[in-house]
Amino acid sequence: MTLSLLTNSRRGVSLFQSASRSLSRTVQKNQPDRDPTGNGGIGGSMVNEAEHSQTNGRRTEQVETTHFGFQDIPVNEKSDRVRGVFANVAENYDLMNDLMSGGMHRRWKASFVKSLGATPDMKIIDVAGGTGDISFRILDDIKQIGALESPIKVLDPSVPMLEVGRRRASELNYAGQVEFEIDDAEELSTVADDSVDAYLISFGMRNVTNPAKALQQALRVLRRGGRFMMLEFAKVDNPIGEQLYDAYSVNLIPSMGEAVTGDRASYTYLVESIRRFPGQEEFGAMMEEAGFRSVQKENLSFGVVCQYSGFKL
Amino acid sequence: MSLIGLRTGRIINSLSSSWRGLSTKVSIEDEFLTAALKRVPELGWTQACLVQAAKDLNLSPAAHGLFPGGEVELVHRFVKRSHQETASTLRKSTKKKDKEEGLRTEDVLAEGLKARLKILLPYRDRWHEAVALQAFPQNAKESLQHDLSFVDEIWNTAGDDSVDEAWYAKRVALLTAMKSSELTWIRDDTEEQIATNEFIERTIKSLVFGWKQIHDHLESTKAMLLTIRSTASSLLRSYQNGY
Repeated sequence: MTLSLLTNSRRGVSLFQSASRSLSRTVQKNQPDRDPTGNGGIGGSMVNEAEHSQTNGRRTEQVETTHFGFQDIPVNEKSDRVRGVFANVAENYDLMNDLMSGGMHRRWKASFVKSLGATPDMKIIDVAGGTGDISFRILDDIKQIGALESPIKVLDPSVPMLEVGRRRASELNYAGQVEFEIDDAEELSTVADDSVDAYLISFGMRNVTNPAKALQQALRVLRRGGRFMMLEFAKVDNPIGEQLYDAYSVNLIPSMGEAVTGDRASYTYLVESIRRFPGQEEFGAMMEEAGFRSVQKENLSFGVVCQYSGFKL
Repeated sequence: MSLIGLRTGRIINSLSSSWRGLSTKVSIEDEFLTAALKRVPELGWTQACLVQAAKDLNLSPAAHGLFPGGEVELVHRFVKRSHQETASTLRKSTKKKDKEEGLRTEDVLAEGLKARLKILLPYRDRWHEAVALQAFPQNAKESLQHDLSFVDEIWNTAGDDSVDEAWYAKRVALLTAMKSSELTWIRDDTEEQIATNEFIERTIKSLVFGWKQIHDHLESTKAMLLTIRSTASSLLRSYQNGY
């Protein structure tokens, strides 16, 4: 019972409030039960009604929408709003990763970096790399066999995140070995065709408005044999684990975010965006469709996170 | 094939071109394995070997990730390929021999082990590294699977059709012979590894001739177990009946 209560509320805190507001309206209109979500409960139709009234209230004409957490927003607004989220969380981003994942993100990233197996002659770009966490791990890793010949490029559309990254780079004495630049995964305007050995994107694809477009750009900048690697939240493959994970992420993470950063909404977005992102099979198919070959998917922690890899051949 | 060719040249042409079409459809992983094996004698079963293979194929060094398991995957993939090659050579040669002079089990088994080592020969100086990699606890399971399916293949080629517990015993016995001959071979400095070949022949001979004894032994053990069981149950019965 407790579990099902928790999962019912997974549609998110902000929506829950507007849903309860619209509940009274629904009752007054005395409409028959519509349940297009197939959730089979009053809760389901309630939330759906809320989504409708929200969208209708904002605009009358049909606009192409995309997801922003559990909300649907016009496509052209997403990147601004994502930038807003990351501007809010930048300072405490790495601390929050530790708190939210119980330190697990370190193991996921360690596995990611190990799979890459960087060699000194590789040109690496760290897309949506923000605070440079992945890049610093690669630099740590490669120390044993030498040093990278060309600096890792960290690309991110969020200026505050890049600021944090630059500061950390000089603190870690990696200043000359990482470059930070403003760029969007859908554009990669600062990266030449066929110039990159490894394209890394760690917990970033979720925030890209059009992932298919980002995959095309990845394919463009990679040279033959170059590798696309992505670390991203995915679908837990175990029903009990899934319930626990849902309950944990929807109920605890926004509160933790509020306690640490004073910003609940941004963390609500982060959690919701995880649920809206395609699962392992779906994203793997997208990679193949984009033209990547030898696509591999490896679940970490029962599929909480998945490591994707594909080659340009 | 030659009969068709005699009839019309056109058919054989189209056949051979479709065969060529098939053979170009080698997977990138196969191509990568071939390239990596060329570098093994020089660089060993290492990550560096995979990176060099990628470069040899004019690919980015990041393509070493085509084998996500790294050096162990290189060994496993080679073992699998070499076993397949050995098995198909062995099948062909036994089929031929079977028609000409009849088949002796010990010859097929010994031939199988020798043919395998012949395929491993270019990598002999590096083979101890591969053996070490295979023996890591995390790799042992897959290594054992490859080896067991290989000895199974040899026994099948030798015409073994046992369906009793001897099936397992035979395979384990051949596996032991295979592994010990491999270790002998690594350190064998005689010309063309004659010592290893002799070792294989001796081992297989004692395996096959000892087999009957083992078999008889198993049979008598079984009989003894049956006797013990019936004695025990009759004792129990009489105890329940109050003697």
